[in-house]
Amino acid sequence: MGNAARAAGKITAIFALAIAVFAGSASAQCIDPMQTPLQTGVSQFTQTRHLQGVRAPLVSRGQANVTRERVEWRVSDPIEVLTTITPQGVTQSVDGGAPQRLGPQSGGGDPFLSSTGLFDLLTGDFAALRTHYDVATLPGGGGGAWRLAFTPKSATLARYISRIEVAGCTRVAHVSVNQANGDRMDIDWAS
Amino acid sequence: MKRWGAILVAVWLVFASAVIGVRVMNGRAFDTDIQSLLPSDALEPVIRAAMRDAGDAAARRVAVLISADEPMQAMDAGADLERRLAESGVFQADRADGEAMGRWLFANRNELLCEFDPAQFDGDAAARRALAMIYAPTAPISGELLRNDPFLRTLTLSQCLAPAVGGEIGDATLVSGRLTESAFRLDTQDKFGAVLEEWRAHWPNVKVARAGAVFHAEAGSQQAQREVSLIGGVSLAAITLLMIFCFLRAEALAGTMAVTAASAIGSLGAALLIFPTVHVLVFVFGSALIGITSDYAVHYLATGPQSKWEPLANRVKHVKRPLIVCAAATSIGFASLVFFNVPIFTQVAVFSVAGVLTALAFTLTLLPLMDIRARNPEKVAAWWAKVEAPLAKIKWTKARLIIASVVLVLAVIAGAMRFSTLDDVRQFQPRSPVLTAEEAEVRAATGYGATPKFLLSFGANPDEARRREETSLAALPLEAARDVLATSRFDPSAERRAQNKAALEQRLYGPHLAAQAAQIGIDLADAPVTISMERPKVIAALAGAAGDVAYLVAPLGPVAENAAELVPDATVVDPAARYSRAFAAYRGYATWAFLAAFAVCAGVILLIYRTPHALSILAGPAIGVIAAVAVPAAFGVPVSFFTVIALFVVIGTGIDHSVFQWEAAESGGEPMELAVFIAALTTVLSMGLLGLSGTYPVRAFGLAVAAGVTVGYVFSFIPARVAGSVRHANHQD
Repeated sequence: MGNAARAAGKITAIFALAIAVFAGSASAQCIDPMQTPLQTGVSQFTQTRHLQGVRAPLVSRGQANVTRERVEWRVSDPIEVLTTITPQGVTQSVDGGAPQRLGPQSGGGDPFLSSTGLFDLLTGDFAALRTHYDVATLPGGGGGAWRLAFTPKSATLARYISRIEVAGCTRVAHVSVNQANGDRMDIDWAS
Repeated sequence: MKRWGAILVAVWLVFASAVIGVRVMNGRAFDTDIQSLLPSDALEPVIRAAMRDAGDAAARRVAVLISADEPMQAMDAGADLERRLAESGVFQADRADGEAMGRWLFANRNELLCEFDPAQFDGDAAARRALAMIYAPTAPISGELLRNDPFLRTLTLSQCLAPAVGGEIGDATLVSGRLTESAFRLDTQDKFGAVLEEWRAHWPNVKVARAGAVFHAEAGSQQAQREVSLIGGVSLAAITLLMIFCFLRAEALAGTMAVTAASAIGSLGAALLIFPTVHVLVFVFGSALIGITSDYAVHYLATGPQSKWEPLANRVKHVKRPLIVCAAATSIGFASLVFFNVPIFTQVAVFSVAGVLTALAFTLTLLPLMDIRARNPEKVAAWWAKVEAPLAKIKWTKARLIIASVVLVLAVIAGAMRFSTLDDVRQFQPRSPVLTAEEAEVRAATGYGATPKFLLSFGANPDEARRREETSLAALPLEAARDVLATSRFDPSAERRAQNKAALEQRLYGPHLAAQAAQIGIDLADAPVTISMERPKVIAALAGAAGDVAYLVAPLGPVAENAAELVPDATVVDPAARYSRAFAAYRGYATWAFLAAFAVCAGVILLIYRTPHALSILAGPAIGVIAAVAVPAAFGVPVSFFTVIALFVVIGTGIDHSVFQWEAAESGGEPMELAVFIAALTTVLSMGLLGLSGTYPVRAFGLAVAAGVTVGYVFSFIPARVAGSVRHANHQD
């Protein structure tokens, strides 16, 4: 089972990272994702988890709200869940209930959040992304669309995440998180 | 007869050396456990064992917080340090135990609850929270996990039960874990320190904050080594110069050291022959013997230049009676310690009596054979007389006596005004300000706030201990209960396991399992997973047994420490407070033992000299004892158990000096001023210089010896005057 609490923090941070960097509003031309400052705002998403041994993908839908202070990841279907990520840690609220802290219970902040560069990313510091991940450009689609691959530099992080792929044009359209155990999670942003 | 005496002493020393060699080789000769200092009835065995376990577990904890300009550099440096420490074999990272904890929680997931009371378990909420974890992008789930644990109980339990483990804190990285051996073992400190030093050389640009007893122990060892080098070096050099200056020959120094060494062998050999283990603190008393027994050698060696090397038999005769009186008084005084029902006092009694008698026997039999006649006896004798002359000229006029008395009274008044006691063990060892600051940094970064206090639950078997711990936790407010690292939360009693299992079956699995499986599209695993019985070290270290009693130790956080003390029938143990109370009691025992020893010495002196005038022999030591307490107190040094130990040295050496002055004055024999002066000065140099130590117990002992022996020496003229008066009166009669 591993250290489940710790791994939970890692997954959370990876998603927060992807959301913070790439969620943004549309514009007419494809942008250079590495040159674009952080864009905040609200976007609709569809999350699909492909788990080995599970008959069908687990699909959830909702909206993400990114500000400089926090990321709110709100799943509305099939269950109402609000996951809030702040520099102090991650909390989760089910069906509008009281938020419960995830990860370490002892205080001192979630140790993993900042080490992934999340807070630098929230403030638009793209250098932090290169600090934690090797970034490679993949062949993109037509019309200037791009695809990027992020590979963890840390062996510790690589135990959980093998690669993150991000694709888009004027903004992020698709994120794919490939886990080390062969499972995959896709996030598609509504156009 | 003298030859046989020498042979017997030599045989005893060979035998004692053999005993020491055999006992030391088996590795269990010495006891370093602080609890052995306590009176045998001071603590219940279960509390004693629990304090030992809790202390050992806490002392083994190590945390190193690593930060750098680049977070990745800190992370890489942390991984490198963890790898190096693991390879050294002295450290086990929490990360490894974290995985063991994950396996344990998975194996026991259907018998554990986050709730302290199974009645509070809400199955509907648990099912919804499981779905939330599955659909929110936070849980590290896999298909295999879902098939075996569809409600993600393992993840839920890891959130609410598992303690924090090493990880990256902010931009820093935390390497945390436990030592595989005691933090107080020198080889552990050396290995750990070497790895850390090598690693720091490899990562010169990272900043490190350390927390853990091993760092304080290492700093303490280094300080002790510095002090031993400095104080010991200065002391040895000064004594060497003094002996050579006075005796003009190195043989005098060798003879003194031989008597001291023989005393040490005799005392340790006898103690190891009688006791299964000898506590290391006995050696503190042992150091007192050095001051006392070296005097015997000085007094005999002084007969050479005093008598211009008369035949050995004559020289021995000069010192035989006073030495026997000194040894008898000191031995009987130390022997009185056995009546105090304190194990270490009994050891000290045997150790000291054997040491004193061995030194006496060696001085009267073997030392004369070693002390060959000086090549230029006339010159040495003349030099001795020349050095002694100024001392002999010192007269105690009324004016001088009044001045000395006034100074002493002022010291006593100042000491009384600033008198205080210190029994708090936390203040005995100075804490490195650098390490204290680094620990604060680690605490601030991790939010770690465990206190040294713990909840102790015990019973006839482990299950009863668990039940009691569960009862205590149930009586605590929820916030306080969560602040307790309790074994029973991870490994409940059989009764609680059954209750938890029933709650899960009735409120979660029964009503929700089929719907959950359908919702997420899984086929539940057919084969049940075997439950691992290997407890994670973090909880295994908190359970133990003392005789037929099983116990659990549950460290308390700051929220829990006060609340737990209010719970009826709960036993909250504060080890530092208990040790401090024991030391306070011990100070009392030692004071009574000292007074008893003093009274016994008075009886021995009366018995030997058969005149009340002889009690003047005790005047110098008595005034020395007052000074030993008052002078350090006047300078703001609190009185403690270690001060009282120093008083034994003060009366031991003080009686020696006064007896020789009394004997010399009574018989009208050779003056003893220089021999007594050398004896007093060597004691002050060998033990009084310990007053320069930065460690409180050593400093308190050294200052008391320095003040007491010096003042005792100054007032050792009193018996000489009394004896002189008596002799004069007898002559007139």
